[in-house]
Amino acid sequence: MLAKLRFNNVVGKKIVMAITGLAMCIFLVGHLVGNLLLIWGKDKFNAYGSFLISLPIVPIIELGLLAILLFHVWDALVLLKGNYEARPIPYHSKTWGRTKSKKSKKTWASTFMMTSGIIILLFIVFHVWHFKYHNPVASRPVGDGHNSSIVLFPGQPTVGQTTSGQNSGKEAFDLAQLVVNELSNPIVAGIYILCMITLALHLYHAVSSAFTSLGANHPRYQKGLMWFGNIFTFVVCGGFTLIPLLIVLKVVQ
Amino acid sequence: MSETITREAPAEIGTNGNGHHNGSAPPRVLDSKIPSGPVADKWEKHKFDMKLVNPANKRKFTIIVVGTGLAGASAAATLAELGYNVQAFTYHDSPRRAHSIAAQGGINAAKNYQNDGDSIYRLFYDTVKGGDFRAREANVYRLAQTSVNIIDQCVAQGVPFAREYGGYLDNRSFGGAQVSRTFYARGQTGQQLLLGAYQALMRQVQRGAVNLFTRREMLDTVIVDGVARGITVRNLVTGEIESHAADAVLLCTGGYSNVYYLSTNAKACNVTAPWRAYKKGAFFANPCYTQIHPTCIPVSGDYQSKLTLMSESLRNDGRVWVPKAVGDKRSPETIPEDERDYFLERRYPSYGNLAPRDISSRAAKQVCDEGRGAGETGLSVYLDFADSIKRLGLETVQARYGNLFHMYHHITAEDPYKQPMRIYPAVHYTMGGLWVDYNLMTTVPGLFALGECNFSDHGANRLGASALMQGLADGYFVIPYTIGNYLAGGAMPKVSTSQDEFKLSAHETQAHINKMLSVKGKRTVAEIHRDLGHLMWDYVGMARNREGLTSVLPKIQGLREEFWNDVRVPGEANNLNQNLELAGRVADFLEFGELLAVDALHREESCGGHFREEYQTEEGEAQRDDENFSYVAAWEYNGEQAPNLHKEPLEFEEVHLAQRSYK
Amino acid sequence: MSASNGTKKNMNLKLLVWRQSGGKDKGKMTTYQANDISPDMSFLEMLDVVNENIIRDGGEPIAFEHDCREGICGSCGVMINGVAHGPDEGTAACQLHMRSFNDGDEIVIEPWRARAFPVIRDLVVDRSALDRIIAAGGYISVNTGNAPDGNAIPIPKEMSNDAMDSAACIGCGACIAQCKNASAALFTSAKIAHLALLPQGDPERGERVIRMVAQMDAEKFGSCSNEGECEAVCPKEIQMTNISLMNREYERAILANKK
Repeated sequence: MLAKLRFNNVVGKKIVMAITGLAMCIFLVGHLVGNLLLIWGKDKFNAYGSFLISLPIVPIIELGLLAILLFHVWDALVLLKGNYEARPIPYHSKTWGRTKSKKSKKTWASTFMMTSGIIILLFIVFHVWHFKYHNPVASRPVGDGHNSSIVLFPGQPTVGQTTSGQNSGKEAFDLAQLVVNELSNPIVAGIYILCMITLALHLYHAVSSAFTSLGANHPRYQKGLMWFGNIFTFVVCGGFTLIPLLIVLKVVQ
Repeated sequence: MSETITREAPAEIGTNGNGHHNGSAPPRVLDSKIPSGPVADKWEKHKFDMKLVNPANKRKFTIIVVGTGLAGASAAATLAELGYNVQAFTYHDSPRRAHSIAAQGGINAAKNYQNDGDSIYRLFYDTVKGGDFRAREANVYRLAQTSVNIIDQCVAQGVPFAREYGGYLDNRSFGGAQVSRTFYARGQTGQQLLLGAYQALMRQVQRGAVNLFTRREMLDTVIVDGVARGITVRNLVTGEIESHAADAVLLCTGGYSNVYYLSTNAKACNVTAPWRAYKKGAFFANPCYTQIHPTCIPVSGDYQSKLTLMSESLRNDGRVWVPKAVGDKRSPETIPEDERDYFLERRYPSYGNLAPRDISSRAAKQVCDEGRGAGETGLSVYLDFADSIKRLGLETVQARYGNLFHMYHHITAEDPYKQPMRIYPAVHYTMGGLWVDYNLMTTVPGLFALGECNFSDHGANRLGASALMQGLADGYFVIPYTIGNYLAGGAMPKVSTSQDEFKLSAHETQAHINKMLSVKGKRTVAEIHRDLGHLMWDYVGMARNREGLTSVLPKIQGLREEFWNDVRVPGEANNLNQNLELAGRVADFLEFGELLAVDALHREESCGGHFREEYQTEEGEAQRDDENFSYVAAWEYNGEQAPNLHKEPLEFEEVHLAQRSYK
Repeated sequence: MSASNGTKKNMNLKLLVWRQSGGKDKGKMTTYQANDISPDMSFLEMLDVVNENIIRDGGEPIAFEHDCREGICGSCGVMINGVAHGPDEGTAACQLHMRSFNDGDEIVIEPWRARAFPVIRDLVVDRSALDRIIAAGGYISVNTGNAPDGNAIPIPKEMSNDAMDSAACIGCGACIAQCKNASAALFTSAKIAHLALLPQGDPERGERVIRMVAQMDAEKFGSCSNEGECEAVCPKEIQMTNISLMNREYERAILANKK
């Protein structure tokens, strides 16, 4: 099917990159909205969490997200290989690669897309493990806020009962408390914040670039799309950064 | 003033009757094969009279096309569409590099879209008159007829011609024409037309109908039994000498302006292909007709490698002047009005700064020769926009000439808004070329010449925006018919590149290359080329005279000897060697330059691009001698001896001969 | 650029030039001295001067491609200090003037680098891949003689202008040379856009973009990262919007494709 639709070339792959990337951006918006509930109130957040878990479609969406991610990563790697091979002999000049022209959209962000992508991938793996599979004792009392379970406690059970939607509920699984517990550790919060900055770096180039790859770029809308990309990046990444920041600053407890 | 002329039968005529063999005797008339009948019906009648090749048989014929500019690419593509087996050759890395790409102004066509009185007949008339009555009426009429098809064809190919707001094609008046018949695509008309032809060619390459050979330079024509049956080329990457056989050979190799070293032509433009064909029996016609363009950016130093043309439209609002006093080197802004000589306005009050190309060029040379030229070199005249800016406002001038001013500023670092531009004439186009008959065939059967390479439809002077028209007319609409007539003439014996004729040609070509490499002297090829350019420009340039032409002949011969005794061609023959390529071209220019001077010496009149100082009116205008020189001078190679002159008389049935006057 | 004639003195420059005797040779950077260079020279004229001196000294001159020297044929093109066609924007190397440099500068001159552009000699590379992309579909299939009257289809002035903007490409390959991925997206898309914008090109739109993109891929050019370095070095200032137009055309084509 895909071969028939001819996605298997440099243009097609970039279209796949753009579609999968933008899909993940949409996910990010949903994710962010949910997370921000934490600032509004822990119970709101937990209610939202249990509502999500009660939906039977969630595992399918999760699988879908995984597939999208894999497509995105796989195509990125294939394109990287192709791009690497497209210029086997590098330039001698050290000033190559940056024209200093106003027309160039080359930035730190665009230059280090692959690096930021890899960091984000590692972060996703960690993040999913951290809040989904690495299930610390959720109902443990909050205490001083320093008993973050991420601190390496070997032998901690990583699979909890909470993934089954049945015995969910505030008493059984206080996700909000878990988040607060975890992110109270400044190191963990720092990791999250750094990763969000990396994500911002990635999205800063990626969003507007995705529109170009999809062909939505147009002399008249070009500026608007650039701004949309920048604002989107700022709002999403800023929003995600806000949560660990507020927790570390003890605004959210 | 008009006059009728009587003509005697030409005296010096060579070549024998059957036309299939070279030789000196018995003499025959140079037959232009112009069809009979009224001029307006000749082409239609001829198209019907010509024999056709059966569609199934076309693929059995192989046609070699040398050069992939407008004429070559359009011919190769069209012949392949018809079903012929085409082999196209270019010395560039891609057909799209041909110098047709640099034409700026536009292309003429008698569409009369503007409803301003244009017609095929008017375009025909203007072209014959503009060519100073030295062109063939029948050819020019056909050119005007096909011009309308060219525009249709190019639009269909996707050439983005300028449009009006209603979506219809826009026209402008060009080069002093009184009707607006010039179609244009910004200042890049040549580029867009060439890309159209190039794309059509690449489509046929993809189909397998054209075999494209890039980075091959044609170095010889192979004649078998008196008929052109192939070419010898050098593979410019490997240095290999290759032979290619075919049933007909088309030379579409452009003009020879680079014999002057500095010209507006691309660096690689050369005379080699037609010159080597000349040495194999093709006649070379009217080499002395060279066109000078008045508005080029002047030379700034010895290192100058080429000249850049600016659109003539600048003269619409610019005023041309030089200081009145000899040796006045003050900066132009400080020279008061009454010490300036607006020489074009003074000499040609009604046309003023818009006097035709040749006339304004000569006038500029004259004032520079008097020592009144502008700039450090003294070889330029001012083109001043100060008055226009005052009269029209800066914005209008900017809108009209912004891109040209920008280009000028970029190249010279002088701001034409603040100080006057400096311009000087430069060689730009050559009307002479291989002699061809009405079917575009040279005196060697099976050898055709198209575009600027043939002696062309422009007579002694080409009108602006007519070069593109002629190249495409020849390629798209003339040769596809006439070649069929030639090929249908009878079965040709099979030839193979293993035949002696091919081997001999390859051997001679290799020997020529080895000889150049073995001189190992002290002078570089570019130096000698520059010297030749100086000689040509000084003695065989814009204004020529008997004394100068006589004295330059031994000088060219001497330079040629110097080349063969003292040239240094670095490197080897078996790889990419750009200096070797250049050396071969310069060696041919050194021979050709002499023929150009001989032709200029023999033509004792002034006409179009050929101005002999002895033959001018009291006002200093060109004076034709229709009685004695209303003919095409076709030169036949005669070994070491002086070339033989053949004359093709020109008959004017439609257009009355008249003296051009631009007073 | 702003310097007026004669205000700048002749310069001495140090050139670091890529020399490679043929496709099989490994090649290396070699140093040359370019002395007494006039600021009014073009970059290629400066190379001419250097070459004349090399020849006089018994060496082999630096091979570089050039022809029209007025920025339209697309023959010339070298990396000058890591920038395709050098520091002046919208300018091919042949129209770059030495007044853009200063006395004592070191100038690094390299050939276009891409797998699809193998070096033939010194600064000369084989760009025939670009011809093959055009051959794959960069035309309107109209045989000579088929054409209706030029005014049969009115084309809006603006549309014609846009097509002209894209059609101005000179095929020099600078976009590819500058791109970090050696992508031919700008070159290919300029031709696709030129023909797709015009009504004459409409019937073949889908087939054209699919075939040209497939050829571009087959030539092993990299992918477009939308950085716009190509636009920055393009001597004809072809815009990146062509690339998104190509992507749009491609999507349209593959969705409509029946095969």
